[in-house]
Amino acid sequence: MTKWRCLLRPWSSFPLQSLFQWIALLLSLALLDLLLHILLYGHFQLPSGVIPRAGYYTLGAADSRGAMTPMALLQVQMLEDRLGSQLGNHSLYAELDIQLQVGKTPASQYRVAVLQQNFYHHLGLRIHRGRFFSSNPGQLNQELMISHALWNRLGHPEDPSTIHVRLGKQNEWTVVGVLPPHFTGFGVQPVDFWLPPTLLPDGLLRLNTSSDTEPELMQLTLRFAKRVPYYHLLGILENSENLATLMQQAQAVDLALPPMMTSHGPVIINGLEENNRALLSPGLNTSPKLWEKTRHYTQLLAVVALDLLVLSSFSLLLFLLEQLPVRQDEFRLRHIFGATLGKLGWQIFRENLGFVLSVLPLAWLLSRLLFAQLAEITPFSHFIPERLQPPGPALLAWSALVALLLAALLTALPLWALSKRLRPRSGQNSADITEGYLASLFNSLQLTTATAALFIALLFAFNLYRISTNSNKGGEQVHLLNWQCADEDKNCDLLELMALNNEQILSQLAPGAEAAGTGEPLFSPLLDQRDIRLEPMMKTGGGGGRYQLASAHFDRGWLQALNIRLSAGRWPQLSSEILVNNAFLRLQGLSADQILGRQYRQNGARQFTYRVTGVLEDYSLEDPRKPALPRIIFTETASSGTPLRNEIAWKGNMEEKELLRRLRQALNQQGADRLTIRHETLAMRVHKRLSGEQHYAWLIGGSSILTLFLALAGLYASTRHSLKRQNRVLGIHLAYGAHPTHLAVLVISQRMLMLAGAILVAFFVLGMMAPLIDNWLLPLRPWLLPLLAAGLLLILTGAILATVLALRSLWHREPMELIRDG
Amino acid sequence: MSFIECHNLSKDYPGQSALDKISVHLNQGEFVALEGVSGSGKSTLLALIGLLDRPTRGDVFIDGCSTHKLGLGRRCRLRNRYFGFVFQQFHLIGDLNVAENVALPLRYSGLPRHQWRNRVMEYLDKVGLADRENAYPGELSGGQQQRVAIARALVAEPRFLLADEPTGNLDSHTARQIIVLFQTLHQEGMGLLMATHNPDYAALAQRRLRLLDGRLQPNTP
Repeated sequence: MTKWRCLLRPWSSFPLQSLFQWIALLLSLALLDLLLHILLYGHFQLPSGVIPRAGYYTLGAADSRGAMTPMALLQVQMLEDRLGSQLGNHSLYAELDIQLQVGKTPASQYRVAVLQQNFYHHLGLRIHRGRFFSSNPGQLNQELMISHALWNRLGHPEDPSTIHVRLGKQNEWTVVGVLPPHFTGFGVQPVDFWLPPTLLPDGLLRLNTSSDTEPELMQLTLRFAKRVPYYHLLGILENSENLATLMQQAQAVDLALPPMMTSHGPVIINGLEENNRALLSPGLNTSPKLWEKTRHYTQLLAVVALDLLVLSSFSLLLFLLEQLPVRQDEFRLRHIFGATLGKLGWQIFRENLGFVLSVLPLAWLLSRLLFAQLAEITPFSHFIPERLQPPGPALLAWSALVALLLAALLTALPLWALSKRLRPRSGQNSADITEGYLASLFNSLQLTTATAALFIALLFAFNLYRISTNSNKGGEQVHLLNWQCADEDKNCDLLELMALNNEQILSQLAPGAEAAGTGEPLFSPLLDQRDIRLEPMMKTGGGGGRYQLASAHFDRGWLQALNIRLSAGRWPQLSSEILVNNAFLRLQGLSADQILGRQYRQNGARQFTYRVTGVLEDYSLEDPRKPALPRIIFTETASSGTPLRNEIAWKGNMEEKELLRRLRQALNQQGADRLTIRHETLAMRVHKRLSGEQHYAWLIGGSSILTLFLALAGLYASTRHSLKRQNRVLGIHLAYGAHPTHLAVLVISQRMLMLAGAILVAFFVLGMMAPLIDNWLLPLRPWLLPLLAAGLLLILTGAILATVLALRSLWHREPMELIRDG
Repeated sequence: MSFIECHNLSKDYPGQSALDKISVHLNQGEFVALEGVSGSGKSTLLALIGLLDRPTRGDVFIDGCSTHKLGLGRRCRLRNRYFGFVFQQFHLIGDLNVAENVALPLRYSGLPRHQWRNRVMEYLDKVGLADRENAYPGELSGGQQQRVAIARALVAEPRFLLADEPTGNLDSHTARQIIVLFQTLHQEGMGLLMATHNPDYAALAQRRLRLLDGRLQPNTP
């Protein structure tokens, strides 16, 4: 017991400071453990030779309006033939509904995505369980992958290959892998199965229309062609330069199809005939660049974890150094009575080892809890497993090694300082000075990191606040009602049901109401971003040229429902009238007055001449985390066709129950009684979409606050150490009439000089880190100065407070006492 | 009324009593020697009189005012205006040169900064070190350091000089020079309380106080 008490004494003598250090070490080790798990079970699991890319592009056909549409299969083949190696890693991508029999349940419709060559694998997407299907056509084993949601619905069997999937009577497919949670494909509707195109019967994808084709297969082909209108090429985005070249070459390919009539009817169905050139879009708008985000967040986590570990270690070292003058007599006596320096070092090492070991189990537990949280949210949910394996002997060995190393590191410096103190010649003064320099150096590093971390935390917090308020226009009053196929209803065809008469639904929902509208779901996949060539009409003047512009189709009610207001002009009334947003004005360098009435012609086509009638305020439609793009807004009347929708935005005071009742009634009248209705407010949707950001903001914010506390504790410890060193000098000042306030100002000014240096270095570090935080910096640029000022104010206040706390003893000590102690 | 009056001053440290019920008075311009062996309480009494420490019991009256309940600020001002201290170990600040060391009390005296140099040079001249104003304490001999300390004690023109064994760390020749300097200062009207265990130097004072085990000896006037 005495031995234990002896080991605990250095910590129990300063209980509050020890507890703080213990918590700081706990959090930093937990974060480090978390980072290691993400690296071990995520990044390092990627097979060798696979370099996850930043994103992907979609290659489709362009219709006469310049909008991207899917291609016919023959067009895809033409593109592949013509562009060949330019495409790089790519895959045919198509989504279709197929009647499948899964397990012993009767056959029903499932959403299937067809793709080649381990495409997800190359994107860096890690499989949740099992493996990807074989990419080598020669070794095809009728394999496919299943979605996490469906796997769960089927009772999440440990071995997914026990799930039997049958197409017709002969073809039995084997499920070899489960995709990660929340990954549902690139389209609107969640995908249940992923399979290689070669797995489908050969004729299905070849569109074989030769006369010797068996009538049955021809029939199947035609049915399949009608069912699969969506062919895209998904390619891995290497870099923007390649993408530009590819884009130029793709546009040169003539995709015009020969007449494809057979005795069974047209092969190429409506909507595809007019496609004659290829169009490339950088990524599908539906899907975030998961890998890029994962990498980005992993880097941030690494910075935070390492930063905290270094800071907490420095803080512990400062704490140990601060104690050294107090414990000096104890060590000196032991030394006089025969204890060698090695023995004293062993004592310090054991004390430190005990401290570190007491932290490890809880740190390990905390990291597991955080890991489980991360497995549920983007951007890690696609990347790391849901559950970790129980710890094995390897983990215990690693933990022991970490504890030994950390304890040794924490022992080395105090032991060196102690050896200086015990050396008869160098004396205490020299030890004090060396320790003082070290303490100041450590503390400067702490302050630098704390300043940088605090500033980043403020950026995160403010960005989150800005997103929440900006995207929450209309708040709780905006109800988003969408209709979906019920999970169990496998015969439901969402595409058909999306084509319901929305106007009729609206009129039944609220006759005569102006504040209701239909629209694509917020941040919709159907929003189109494309390169539009705009030419100004001479008589209306102004600049023109080629702009990277996004367009959107909305109706007025929907925009009004979301409180997206006109900042100038009026709402369009004719099909040739359009709105632009403020970002567009900035791009053109025009004022609102100058743009109103201006006419633009798209792609030189006379029939596509538009007049600007109004300017819409900036509002990021595709992702609240990004700044608004320069955008042309076509209203419903200007839109070439009615886009498919399954959502209504509603703003009003009607009770939610009543709203749902009326919508149900309206849907039933259109024969859509099988559909389930989902309701959420705009605020709820924004909250849901931002949950990942919120988790991270908490993590970054929390750790930076901890960093700040560590730095301030370090400042406190180093000021105390400095005071102990300067006792005699301070006593002399007091003896000749100095007031403690004079001395406080003196010490604070010394500390502030150090702080100013640390802040300057922090800004340099922040500049170096800018690429890492650029995503947050971009929309916050106007706020950078106020944020910077707030950060500086916070850190200055904290630093002055910590220094004054350390100096408080000056007010209670008499000059003679200080001179004597010095 | 005397300039300084001590009433029943006692000072206790954990486990021991350093001073016990000391009552003594010091007049303006008086040269008083405080004698006693090591540990008799001389330094403690000087510290209490100079407001460098607080008594456990009793009170010090300066110019008739009790210092018992004085606030921190007032005590600091009294120390600066009324007392100059000379310590046995000199207690010069190693990072400051001679002129800066001497100017230390002026920082807190309210004297305008532009007058500091003249004042510092005046007192350095008085102690014979005007030519060493830029030297650092480490470059001076013990006697020179003590003379710098005396200049520092005098520069704010206090009314009483409290010297705690000012010759204790000096050789006899230098010590005599310091004592001569003190005599000169006394002749110029400066009050002096000098702690010493050297009876020869104590004999030069107008009045001698003897301390033994924290008590004033009965034959002390």
